[in-house]
Amino acid sequence: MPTIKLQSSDGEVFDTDVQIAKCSGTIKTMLEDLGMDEGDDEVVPLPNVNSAILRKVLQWATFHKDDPIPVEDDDSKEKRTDDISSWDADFLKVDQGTLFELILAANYLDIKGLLDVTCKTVANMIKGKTPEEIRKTFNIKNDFTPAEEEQVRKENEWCEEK
Amino acid sequence: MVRIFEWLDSSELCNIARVCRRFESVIWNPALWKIIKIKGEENSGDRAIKTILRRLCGQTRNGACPGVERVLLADGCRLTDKGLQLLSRRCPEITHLQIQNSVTITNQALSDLVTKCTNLQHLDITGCAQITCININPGLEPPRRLLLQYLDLTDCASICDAGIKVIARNCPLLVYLYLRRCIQVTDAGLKFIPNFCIALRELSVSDCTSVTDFGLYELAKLGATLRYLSVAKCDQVSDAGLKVIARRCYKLRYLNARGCEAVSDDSINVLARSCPRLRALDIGKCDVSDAGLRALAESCPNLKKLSLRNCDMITDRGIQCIAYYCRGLQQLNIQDCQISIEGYRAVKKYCKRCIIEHTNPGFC
Repeated sequence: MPTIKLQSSDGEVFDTDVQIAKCSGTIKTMLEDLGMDEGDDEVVPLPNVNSAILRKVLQWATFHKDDPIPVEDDDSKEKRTDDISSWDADFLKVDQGTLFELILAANYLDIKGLLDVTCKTVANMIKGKTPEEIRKTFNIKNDFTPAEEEQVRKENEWCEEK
Repeated sequence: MVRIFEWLDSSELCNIARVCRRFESVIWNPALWKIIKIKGEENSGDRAIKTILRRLCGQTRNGACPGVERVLLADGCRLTDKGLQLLSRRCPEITHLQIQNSVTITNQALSDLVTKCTNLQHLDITGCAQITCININPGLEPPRRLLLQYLDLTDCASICDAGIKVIARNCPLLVYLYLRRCIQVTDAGLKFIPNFCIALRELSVSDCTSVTDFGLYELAKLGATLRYLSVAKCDQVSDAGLKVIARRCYKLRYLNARGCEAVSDDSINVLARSCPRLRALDIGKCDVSDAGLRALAESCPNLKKLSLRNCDMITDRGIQCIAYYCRGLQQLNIQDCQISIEGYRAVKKYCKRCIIEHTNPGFC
């Protein structure tokens, strides 16, 4: 099977199946634009992804390589966050730092499936929590003044849990 | 951050606004408000809409939120004319609107909406009991029709035949129309539907108890486009009406004639022969026997759902027949039927994926 070389920001080179690498829209476009052919020994540099994250991304892409191509922006479908497959859920049992780095990598590499599932995972960490609990979960500082806080609270009162 | 917040719904977004300044500024990105969903008995739809739109459009009098595409109110959250008018003014690009049980909404507010929001395709006003009609404000040149494809008027009990006429005339693109429990609608109103809405695929007139066979003769003019029809509990409907529907609307996939007690094997035979694409059929309480089931079994191999609840003439023989021919059956209702364990086992044997609803405690 034809392979290409991907280089992470910290210099590690990954020999990758072309078909798997192409699940990244960014790499796909790069290959097409540069007219790179299989068998070329050229290395594709990915300056925004380190080796630990790239390894994870490739692991995900290898598992999902036979997935059907997602339908372009299907707005009619309701956005669900409770449909994460058990493999993905296991795969994403990582610390928050890694999870956010994965989101950034998926965004940079333009891998929609991975971006969706990582964002859904974070969204699930937000759902059903009070603002204070959310701050705790993500280590966020409350930078509202008491007056501002009161105003924001009032503004959004309508959604308060019954 | 926006990519993550995209997965949250409207009330969750408002909740996280209170976390910190950064969140508060990010959540008012219009990309996150394409769909506004508000639910809950205690929520005032007016107030929620007002708050959200004020943040999205700014304070200007004429500010608009062209990004808003769908507004869905559910679970007891209601809107009044004031809220609806605000929505019409601020969200001109809206395509989907659901304002169930907003009982105080008047025709005038609804007219304003459909006049201003020219892209509206999907409208659900279930239980808006004051509505009698959907009209466009007069004075528009040239006169315009609505683009509505989906219209749910369930429980709009004030709508009468004259209203149906205006609605049908204004909405020539309708594909889905639900008139459940619009109890004032009669055959005279139904007559207008095939005249104007030639693309109609789904229609429900269940519980419109004034509808008779004459209404069905008219609806049959919808012909092959009609795929879904419910005349449930229209107890004046009989074999004569259903036979005409079956012959003319031969691509029917779904038919609900539950509680039409005058329906018998006579029309079921015609239905089976004419509509081989049938996938779901409810003939609960109808006067159907094993002979009707045999006809169905032999002609409609695609049946996935069948309800025979309260059909006291059918026996194990009929059920066995269905089970043998319709192996793709996924749901079968034999509650309050005279079916023994033998019939039950036949379904279990041939229709591996079928869920059987029954009232016999002996089956397991």
